Amino acid sequence: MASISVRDLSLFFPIIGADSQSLKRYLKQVAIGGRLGGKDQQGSLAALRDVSLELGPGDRLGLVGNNGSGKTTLLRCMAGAYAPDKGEVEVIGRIASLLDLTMGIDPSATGLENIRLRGLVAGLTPREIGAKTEEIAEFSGLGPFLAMPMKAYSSGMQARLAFATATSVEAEILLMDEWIAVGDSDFRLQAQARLTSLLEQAHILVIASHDSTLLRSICNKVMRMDHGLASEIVPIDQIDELMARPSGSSLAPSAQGE
Amino acid sequence: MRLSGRRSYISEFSETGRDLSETFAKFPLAFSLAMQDILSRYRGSILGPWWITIMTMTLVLGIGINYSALLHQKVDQLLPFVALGLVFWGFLSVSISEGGDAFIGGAAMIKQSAIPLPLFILRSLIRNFINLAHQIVIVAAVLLWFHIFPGLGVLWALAGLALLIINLGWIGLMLAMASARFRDMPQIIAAVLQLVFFLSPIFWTPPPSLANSPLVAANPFYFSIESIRQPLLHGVMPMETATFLIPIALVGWTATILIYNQTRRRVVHYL
Repeated sequence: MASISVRDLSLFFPIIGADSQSLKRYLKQVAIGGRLGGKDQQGSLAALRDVSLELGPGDRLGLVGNNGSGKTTLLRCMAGAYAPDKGEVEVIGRIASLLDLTMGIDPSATGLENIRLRGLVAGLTPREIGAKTEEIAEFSGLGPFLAMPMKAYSSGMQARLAFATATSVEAEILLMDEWIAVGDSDFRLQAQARLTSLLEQAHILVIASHDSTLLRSICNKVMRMDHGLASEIVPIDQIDELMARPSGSSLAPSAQGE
Repeated sequence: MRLSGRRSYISEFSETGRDLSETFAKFPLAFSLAMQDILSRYRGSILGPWWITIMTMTLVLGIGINYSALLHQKVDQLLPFVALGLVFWGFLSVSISEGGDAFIGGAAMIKQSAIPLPLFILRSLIRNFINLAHQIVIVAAVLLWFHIFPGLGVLWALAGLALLIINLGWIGLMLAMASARFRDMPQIIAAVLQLVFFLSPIFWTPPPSLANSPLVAANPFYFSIESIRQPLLHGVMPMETATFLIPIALVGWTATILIYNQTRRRVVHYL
């Protein structure tokens, strides 16, 4: 049974300017011996602070919050890309991550090669990919173009293929960063239908979005992020109250007991 | 999937172990990525990776013939030595320099997915191994042309190659971490490799006067090449393989795992 359980998750990004990534700079700092405060001066950014949440089958969670509030970071933690600095993330079930549709795509490779590559990166076995290739090819509607290198595609065609491949993974858990809209008006309708059926299959959805109308239509729960802090999870019909809360301390976990 | 904060130094080792075992479990992914790297690098080219073979061949002929005249050495002695040296040096040096770029090149995937980091080193090693396989024709051609039949030496050479790959694994992982953090590293690596190439007896046979020089007597790069070249040319495995290369592999992997243990969580933030 699918579940996502996040307990007291904190994540800090070290702030490394392009400059401090050079070895000379580093050696200088060591040689001078902390005149500028050494390591501390680089500092770190708390991207997530003590975030906790529990999701089970049937949960469709919308993440809201300003830019830089930690929504994408939280999604990437769930996808396993970031290891927590504190706390724990436990995800049970197969994950389909639609965070970056172009991940693993090689523009010089043909459409068919990219289907294979993208599928492997998403964790499918070569056999599973073989079984899906035809369906992906058909859905993308690219026909003979699939045998051509992807850099010959228009950006709309590239997006079609990326979308068709990324959404072919049947998964219990779906992670999305903003709703995906690709292609011309015909394809857009098909894509919406496909995404909707993917949503219905998935046991758990977590989506970050700024569009509260969209969240109302696909989610049943909502959580607000603010400066790396998370609010408690509330039913979707309380989204307006949640958004109306003043930014800052009221979102802290201590304010949970409503 | 379960990820947690650093609980203790010891528990971190089990995560490191999991990264390594998952890397091998995902060998097909590493292999496909490596194949794709080669396909896209040589797309549209008729000869593809055989170009590396041709480039090496021109170098072998150029250096082999020219140096044998300049240094008054017999072609049939110098050329096989140079040919084998250049083929395996190419594998060694490119594996090291591309290993250093492994995380930077895989940044998009590392930032989005749970693919374990050492997989990107494995990808680079597989890619270079496939390129090396194309160069085996040079080795075979030279051995046949000069009537050198190594016999069981082939098995020793394969053992030497396996040991080299084990060593390249830790070197790649170590340098990939360093290069992700310090962006001068790839250039430093390239410069050092160039220096090592000219200073090591790879395309010149060490004269007796240099026998005690560290370039000959304590040069792990030279020993790595010799652990494959000597068995093929003379059917014997040099002593230094056991006295230098195996200890280097053990110490190198230990040090790399200790450093990886400290760094694995940070790498994604460096990229």
